[in-house]
Amino acid sequence: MARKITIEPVTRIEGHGKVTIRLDDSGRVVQSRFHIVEFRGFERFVQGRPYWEMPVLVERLCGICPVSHHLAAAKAADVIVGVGPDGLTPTAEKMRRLMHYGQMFQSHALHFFHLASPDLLFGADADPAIRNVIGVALKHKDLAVQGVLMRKFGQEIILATAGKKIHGTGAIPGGINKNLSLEERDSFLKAPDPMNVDKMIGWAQGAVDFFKDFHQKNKDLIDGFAAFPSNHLSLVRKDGGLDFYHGVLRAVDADGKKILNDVDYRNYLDYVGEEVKSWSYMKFPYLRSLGKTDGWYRVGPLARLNTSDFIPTPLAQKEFEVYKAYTKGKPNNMTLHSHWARLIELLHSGEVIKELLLDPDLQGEALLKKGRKAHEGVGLVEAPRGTLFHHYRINGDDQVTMANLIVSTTNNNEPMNRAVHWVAKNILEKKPEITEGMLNRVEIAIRAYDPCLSCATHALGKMPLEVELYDSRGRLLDCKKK
Amino acid sequence: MDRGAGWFKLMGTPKSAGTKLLSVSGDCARPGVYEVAFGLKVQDLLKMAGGLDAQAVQVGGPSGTCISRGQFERKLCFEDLPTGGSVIVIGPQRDLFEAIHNFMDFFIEESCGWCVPCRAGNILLKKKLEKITSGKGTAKDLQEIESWGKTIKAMSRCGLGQTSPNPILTTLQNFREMYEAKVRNDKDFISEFDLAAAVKAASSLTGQKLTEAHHE
Amino acid sequence: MNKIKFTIDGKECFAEPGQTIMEAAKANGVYIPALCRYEGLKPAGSCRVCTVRVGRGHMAACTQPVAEGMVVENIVPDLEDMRKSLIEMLFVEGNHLCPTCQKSGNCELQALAYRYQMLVPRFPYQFPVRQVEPVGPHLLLEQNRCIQCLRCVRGVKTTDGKAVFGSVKRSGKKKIAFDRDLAAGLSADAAKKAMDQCPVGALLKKEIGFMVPIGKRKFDQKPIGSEFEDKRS
Ligand code: SF4
Ligand code: SF4
Repeated sequence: MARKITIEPVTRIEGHGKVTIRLDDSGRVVQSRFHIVEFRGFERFVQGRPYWEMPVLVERLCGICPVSHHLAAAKAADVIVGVGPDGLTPTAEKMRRLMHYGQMFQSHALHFFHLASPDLLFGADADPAIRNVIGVALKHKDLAVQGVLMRKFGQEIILATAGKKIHGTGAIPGGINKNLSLEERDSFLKAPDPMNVDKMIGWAQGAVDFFKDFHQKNKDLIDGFAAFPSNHLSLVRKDGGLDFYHGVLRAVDADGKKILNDVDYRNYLDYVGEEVKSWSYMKFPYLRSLGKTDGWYRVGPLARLNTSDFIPTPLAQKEFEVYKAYTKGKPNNMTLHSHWARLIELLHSGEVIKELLLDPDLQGEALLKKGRKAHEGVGLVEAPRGTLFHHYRINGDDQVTMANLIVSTTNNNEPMNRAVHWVAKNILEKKPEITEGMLNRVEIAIRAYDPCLSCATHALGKMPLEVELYDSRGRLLDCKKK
Repeated sequence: MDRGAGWFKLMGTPKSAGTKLLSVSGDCARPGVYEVAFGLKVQDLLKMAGGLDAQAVQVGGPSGTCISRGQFERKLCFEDLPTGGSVIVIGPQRDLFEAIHNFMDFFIEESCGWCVPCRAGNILLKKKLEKITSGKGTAKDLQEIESWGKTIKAMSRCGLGQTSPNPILTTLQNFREMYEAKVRNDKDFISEFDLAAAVKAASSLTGQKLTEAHHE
Repeated sequence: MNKIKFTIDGKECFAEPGQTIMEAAKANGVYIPALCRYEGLKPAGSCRVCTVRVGRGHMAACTQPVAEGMVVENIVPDLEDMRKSLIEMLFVEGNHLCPTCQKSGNCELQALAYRYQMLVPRFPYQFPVRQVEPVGPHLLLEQNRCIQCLRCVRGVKTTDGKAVFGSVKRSGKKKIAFDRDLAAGLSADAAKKAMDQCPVGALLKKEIGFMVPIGKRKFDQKPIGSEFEDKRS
């Protein structure tokens, strides 16, 4: 008897995912889909607004990684005021970088310690009562405390650069509205343990080591779970180094061949298309050169470490070499290795934050530049979850007439579907009953991509899910909720 | 005129001397202009105009006082029921709420919009009234409508705003049962939020139907 | 000296003949909240936030002259609550998304909302559909945030003294309009001045945006009214 399984989180408005898996009469998976509700209201909402509002407005419309939106919009606005994307003053560019790496640091710390580590520490079949951040806090107190404080550290950096921990105003078209005072700087450099940057780097290194150790003991899970070949896309620095704030667009295929060769992201429309599918609110981006079927790609930590040639800070570079050696220099296609990549990025962010703090440019007074006005601007950044595209057009009165955003989670739409499909094939197929452990594996697969969906930010075991079982004629056979 | 002020003053009440021209309109057999002595009972006026079966009488135009049957003994004069001349008879077949709505529409229409309480307040007051008459009100809404009305009266710049909540406030006082019958006592709060309506614009923008994509 | 003697909330005050309650209060170091009032402009009495009580009557302090022996009530709970509800009416009447508004931190409406610790307005949001309109080369008029205070109508003039802005329509439809030709002649400086005069984020000089960082804005450190209230204590 054919079955249809629906996994549906209850939250609706902020965006939520739903998974449906169809099985045929013999219990084999015939189709799996990850549905995402995403109201793209902002495209209308920003119509007529002055362009300088974009960095502050758009960060609110998608609230989970506001700094990324803030900066991507600011970069687009830089182009509009005629200074982008390479023309900012050193103080402005470095303040923005500091803001961005601060956000990377806090987001990656949050994701690993609060959202991902319970899966790893306790396993998908563990009692939900302990398999959550409270469980981590009880059993691995130091890890939980580090997670909280690292997140706080990143947020304090954001506060000092953007003016607020969430939804600040720091980046403005053509620059930044403040520099970093010496007191602010010293509060990060010289504060007593643990709230100083050296301790943070130390903890980040500890997190990488923790993961490597865990990997050694759980190779089957980490290497095998939801692994599948794919293309990978991200910004890289012009010299091929890892860079979250600025660079050129590069994509590689599953074997490491460059399929997008360091192109100017302002022409992204020439390279990236978006497909609409009737069953999902979220579009499916693809590389035009490869077409709709084969052009899908992954973004995020895993993709970034696949596209980049090196990491421009010493500790992270050392870890990068270990990481790369594991796949013999080839792209890494293992879903759960995103956690490893994310932690290397965490370490890198800590190192970059320190470099920036030591840079006297941050106390510079030249904050703003202005050039020849343009009526269109594109801005990209590497958000914690992957490449983020912002594109605006304005009229002669400075009002926005068109906005297009491709958010990281949209870029990862197909990969998340693939990951869910893998779980359906390998875990759910031919099983007489759906257990909580199986549902958790669906969740783990989605969560590895750190999607910015409200349901996904619930700790594991807390994600509201509903499972429905249908027979071939669409009759409901079973319904499971958690 | 030729009989002099002394004669004129003999009529009426101590503080409201003489006579008054009243324009009686609404649900009565003989609407028209009546010259009566101040101090006339509403009851007697209704008798003259042929509107004894009225459920309510609005004395003093939209901004005046709306009285119920039990108060028809009251007198038309400055001490009791002052009026600029307008008396509107509201017959038994009418929905009194509808009349109040109309009065509020009149004020909203007439507000010059200069000052905040009259411009914004009356619209809010009317919406609140609509909430109550549509059966979505609670006891708390009755308290609120009263206090909002008082604010508008106290804070408005001119006579219009200072009297505009009267149709609501005086009926709330004189026809309390009618309001109380409308409100729900089983609930403290009834949401006016309609999810489908709220996301309609966003959904149509993307060309998607909420229910379809959701239950596919 | 024939000064007029009167009291505000029991405090003995003195006024020059002809002074309004507002002017006299200021001279005596007493804060009366207000929104449409602007130093140097003729009072309009439109926001009604400065309403005070004298005996049983309510009047706008910005337009009412002081009289000998007046006993003025100002900061008293029921009046303050009515003022707060006016602020709330203004919030629900327009569309005020403070977090994305460039006037945030410099906005008098927002500052009063903070003063009155407004969390959620008691009134339902009206979500009117309003537009952003370009006003000449240097200004935008954000109708969503306009509170009809008429400061621009009173204060924004061309170099030869003609009023650029006017108020059209009535009731809830009342809105600010402007003369296109006169607006076209407004200089960048005049635009900046107009923006500074507007109590809210409705008149925006182009490209200023979020130039002032959080922490350095007008009301970040000193809440509205504190310049009087600090002195008093
Ligand atoms: S104008 Fe003032 S109250 Fe309105 S949104 Fe802007 S800051 Fe908030
Ligand atoms: S635009 Fe500003 S100054 Fe003019 S009426 Fe509106 S709020 Fe007042």
